[in-house]
Amino acid sequence: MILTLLLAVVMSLLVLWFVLTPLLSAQNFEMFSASYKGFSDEGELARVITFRDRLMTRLTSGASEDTKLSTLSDDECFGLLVSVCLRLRRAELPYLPEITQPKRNRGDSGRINLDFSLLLGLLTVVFSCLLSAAAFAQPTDARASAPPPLAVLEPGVYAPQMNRYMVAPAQGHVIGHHMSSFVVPSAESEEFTVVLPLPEKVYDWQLVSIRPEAMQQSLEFISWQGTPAFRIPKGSQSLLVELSSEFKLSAFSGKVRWQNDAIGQLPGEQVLVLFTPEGALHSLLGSVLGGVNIWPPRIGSVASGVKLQERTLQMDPSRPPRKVQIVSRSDEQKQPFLSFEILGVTPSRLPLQLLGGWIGAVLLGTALWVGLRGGRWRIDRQSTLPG
Amino acid sequence: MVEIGFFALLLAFCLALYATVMGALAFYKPQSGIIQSGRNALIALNACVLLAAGVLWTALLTHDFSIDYVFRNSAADMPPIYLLTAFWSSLEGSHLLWTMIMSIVVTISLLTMREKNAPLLPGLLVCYGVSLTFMTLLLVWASAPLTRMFPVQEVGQGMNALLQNPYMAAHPPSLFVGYCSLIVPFGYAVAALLRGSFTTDWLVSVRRWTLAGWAILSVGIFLGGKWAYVELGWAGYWAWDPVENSSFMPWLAATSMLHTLLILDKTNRLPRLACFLAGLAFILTFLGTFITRSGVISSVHSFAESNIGPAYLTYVVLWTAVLLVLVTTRGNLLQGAAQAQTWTVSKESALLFTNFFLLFLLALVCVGTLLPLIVEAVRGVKISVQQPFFNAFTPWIGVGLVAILGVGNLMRWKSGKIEDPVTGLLYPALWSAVLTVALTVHKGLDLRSAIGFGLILWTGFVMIMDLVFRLKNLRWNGSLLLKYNRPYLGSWIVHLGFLVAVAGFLGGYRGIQAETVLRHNESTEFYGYTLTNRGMRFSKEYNATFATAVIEARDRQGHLTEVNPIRSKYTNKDEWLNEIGIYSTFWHDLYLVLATFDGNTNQVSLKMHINPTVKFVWTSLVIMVLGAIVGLTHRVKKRTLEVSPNGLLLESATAEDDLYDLTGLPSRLSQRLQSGAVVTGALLLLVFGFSGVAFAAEETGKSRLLYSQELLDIGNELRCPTCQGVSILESETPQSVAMRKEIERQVNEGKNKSEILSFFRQRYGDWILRQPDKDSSFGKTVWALPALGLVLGPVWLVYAIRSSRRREDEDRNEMEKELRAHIQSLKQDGGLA
Repeated sequence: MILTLLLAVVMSLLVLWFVLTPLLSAQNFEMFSASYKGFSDEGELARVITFRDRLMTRLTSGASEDTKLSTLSDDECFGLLVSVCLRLRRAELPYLPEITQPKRNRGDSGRINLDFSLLLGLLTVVFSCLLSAAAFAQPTDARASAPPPLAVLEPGVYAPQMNRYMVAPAQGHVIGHHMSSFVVPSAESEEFTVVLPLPEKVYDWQLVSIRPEAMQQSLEFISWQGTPAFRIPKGSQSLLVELSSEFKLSAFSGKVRWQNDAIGQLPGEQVLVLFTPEGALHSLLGSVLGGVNIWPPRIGSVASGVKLQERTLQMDPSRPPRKVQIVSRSDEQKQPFLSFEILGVTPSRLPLQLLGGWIGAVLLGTALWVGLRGGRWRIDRQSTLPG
Repeated sequence: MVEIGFFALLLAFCLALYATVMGALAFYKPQSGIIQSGRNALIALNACVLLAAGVLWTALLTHDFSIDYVFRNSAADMPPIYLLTAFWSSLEGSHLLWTMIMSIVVTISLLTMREKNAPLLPGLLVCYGVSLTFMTLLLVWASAPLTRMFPVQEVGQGMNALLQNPYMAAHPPSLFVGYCSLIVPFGYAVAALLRGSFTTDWLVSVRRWTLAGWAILSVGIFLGGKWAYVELGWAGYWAWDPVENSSFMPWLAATSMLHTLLILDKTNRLPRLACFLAGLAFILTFLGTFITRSGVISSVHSFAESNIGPAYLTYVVLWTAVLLVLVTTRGNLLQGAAQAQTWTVSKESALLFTNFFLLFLLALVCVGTLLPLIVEAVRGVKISVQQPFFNAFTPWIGVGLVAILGVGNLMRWKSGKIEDPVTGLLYPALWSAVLTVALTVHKGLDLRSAIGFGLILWTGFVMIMDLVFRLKNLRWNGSLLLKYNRPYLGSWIVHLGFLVAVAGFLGGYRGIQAETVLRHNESTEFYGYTLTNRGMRFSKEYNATFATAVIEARDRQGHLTEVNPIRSKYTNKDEWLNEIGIYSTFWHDLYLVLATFDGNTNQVSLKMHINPTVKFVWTSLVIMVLGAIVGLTHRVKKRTLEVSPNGLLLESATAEDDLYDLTGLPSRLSQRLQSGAVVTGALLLLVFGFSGVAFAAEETGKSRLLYSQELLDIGNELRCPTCQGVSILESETPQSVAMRKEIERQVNEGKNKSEILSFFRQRYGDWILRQPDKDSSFGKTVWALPALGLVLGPVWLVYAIRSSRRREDEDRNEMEKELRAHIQSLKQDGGLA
């Protein structure tokens, strides 16, 4: 995430420099080019106006310095004059000689850099605020409500000992699938809580299935120290419960921390499977980029006592096997809840979108600023013309 | 890297928007900084889009199936070359390719801009900026190629199997380069209209870009035709289906524009039409994409289901409105727009008629393509307008174009005088008549072929005579022609290519077809060939399995060759596809389609076609592109030399001093040899073009016909219910096969054509007919529209010209009065201050 954002920022700065440099250079105040409707360029217009004046001189004085014009009759000269004047009029230019020409203004260049710096600075502050807000934002819809156990976490609170997780990376988050099974303790005569041993800060948790299905109606889903849990009413029969659920974990920056301090010690078997797609860049520069947070997703920083394996798994006979990483721990003794990191998840695009928006705002703000500078450099089309 | 690619597209969108704003701003503040900044934004945009394209290509080559587009359009078992072409095999990638090429073209046009065109930059920035804003907006919104897909799959779905063909690999990029090249003339036209005048080098730049775009678009269209020919198995290359028409419409507009630019260059006339056509050609590229990509082809109601359809429609309507407003409100400011338009019999008048035929064809194609959509939208009824409708009019347009080509070339600018009309027109008529009669008698040409052949031959000879006259005027100095008259020479070659193409199309009418079932080692006779089935070969390559029939073909001279019609099956498609077996000679193609095969007994059933003069169609492209290249190599500072019969330069202002009077310059032997070589080369090209028609299909009727005559008549009027643009005769879908059987059954029962067509109309609706029903009132209207256009078009032209002259007269009278009064007052005041 940081790497991506850094590259994006460098790219943006290069682009901004390339695009905005001409605006900040001293040559900005030179008039680029005057435009004259109906004429190819200034030279052609000047020639036409000179010709018009010669014709006018010829017609008013009866003589001309131009030898060709001297040979023409008055009617021919007048015909030419009409054509020339029509052309000038169509170009919305004055076609008779005595026209007062407005003066051309030139603006000073002293304040432009200061103004621009202020504008840029202001936009930078706004963007930084937006970026920080996005970076520190928490998933707002992380809610808890639901499922079951066997190990005792504290009096009246249990957690299943058989837990399997499948994790699939997505954009800005990972999607987890949790499966567990347990037997409702027959000794428990009071209402008790079953905590699902999921990592901290899961959101969008939802129950996929529970067996027996009839049990679902009697369960009350709650949150136990931020972890999904549910209450089993007193007097429930002792029976085997199988439960599966789905949840999401935020990977805003491409990294996920899997841990849950509230659960502390948890005996039994925990197996986690992470689908790991191929990543060309990482495969190519694996030795160099081993620890860098770039695609593809992979598990790192595994706690001691936890086994990490890489395998291929055939999920569907009609499809080729898929590469997975498996984290497992099987121990009758109480061990800490699984703790590791998932690196290389595709980060959220929100920071990039904000950065893009900021660049757009800088560019359009600059355009607006230039546009609002007033008409001090407005071009006077006729200013440089003879006549 | 994918995220960086996504960000690059986001950045590109911002830059396009910025360039647009800066362009607009530059109209009010034409400061170098503002314009340079906008220009730099477009160049930076190009870098961003190239980066995004690089990311997508990398993802395709490395099978990064976390990207939705890569998953849907590629697979790990595809050949590497098609992994590269998968880039444009679907909508989002095509958009990215289009945007990439457009931004490259824009960058090149900005970097190579002539100094004298610099005043057009504000308009260009707005034009380029708006177009690229639209394209990049699609890339980050409705048609995003770098969208992620989770959970990530291990195997991609693969590319559409029909697109795994070398011609289809090259067809879209060439088409897009052609489309995108047209943005430059469009930008220049809008900029000139906004500015109210052309710049000195406007015409030079616009002509070069239009010609380059036209040539590349021609290549793209021909490649598409070639793909259809070798892949689809209906033995044709052009079916007038909406997808083909979509690329043909901008080509026609660009062709018409090139002719208009010539008139503008030589006579300073039609500036508004030139600007309008420049805009139209570009807008039509988007209209075509709207038709093909929005889903309106299948149903007019389906286009709103995605964001693409409404977005394209909005964009097309917006630019059309802007163009029309600019042409009508600002066009009169352009140089030459309001001058007296006196059209006499002259070269420009001939070009005007050429333009009329081209634009009429454009209107016909446009109406034919859009009418089913409009009718469905307005009346809720589906109709079809397919090949028979277009084929009813296009031959006549072709006749008009060919007839006017030779005569128009002989005429001079602003004068209808034809130099030595007996030698220039009459002798070619006699030669072509003698040759046509001889060939008709000797080769048994039918009336249509004979008339067409005679006309093409006459036009070709007239063109040769025009070349001879021109060389004669240059005192047989071939080097002068090659040095200073390359635009003329280029257009001459292009027009000859056009004649060769028409000859090729004409020969296509004489094709024959048959079918056969051959057991192993069994033989059959077809058009002088002995075809023997030598069994089947099976192979597997990447993601495809090939079943190849080994057919031995021995011609009359005993020459033996192997033809291999193939059926292929791809891992991502259940049905078997055709790979045609073609044995191509100079005069015709032996075209074999493997209809069915039995792998155990090696028995095959074949559809056999003889397609005369197909090679001429492909060769005509080479000739036309060669002509365009010759034209493009012209040194732009020297315009085409116009020399009178007396050897005097008619355009002295643009020629070099040493060429002012050619009368005193005797040509050296080498220069005369060059002249001889030019004329000989032209004659050889001409002979090549027409020999195809002469030698095509000598044995029509001797082979077993594929279908009965009744089935041919009726089947040709019924469309395949599940395909685009083909009849049930050309389709092998189950529905088409069933319909053919039904027709045969009803024919055997004694029913006539009308009864059988009624049966299918009742079952499928009017939509099943390939052309509007001539007996219905609606059908009559549809058929009358082109006829009305053909009549009213010239009338409108005359009216427009006359009213233009009337306005000019009124303006002139008013100005005269004012100037007389002014001169009088100046005289009284003692002259000009």
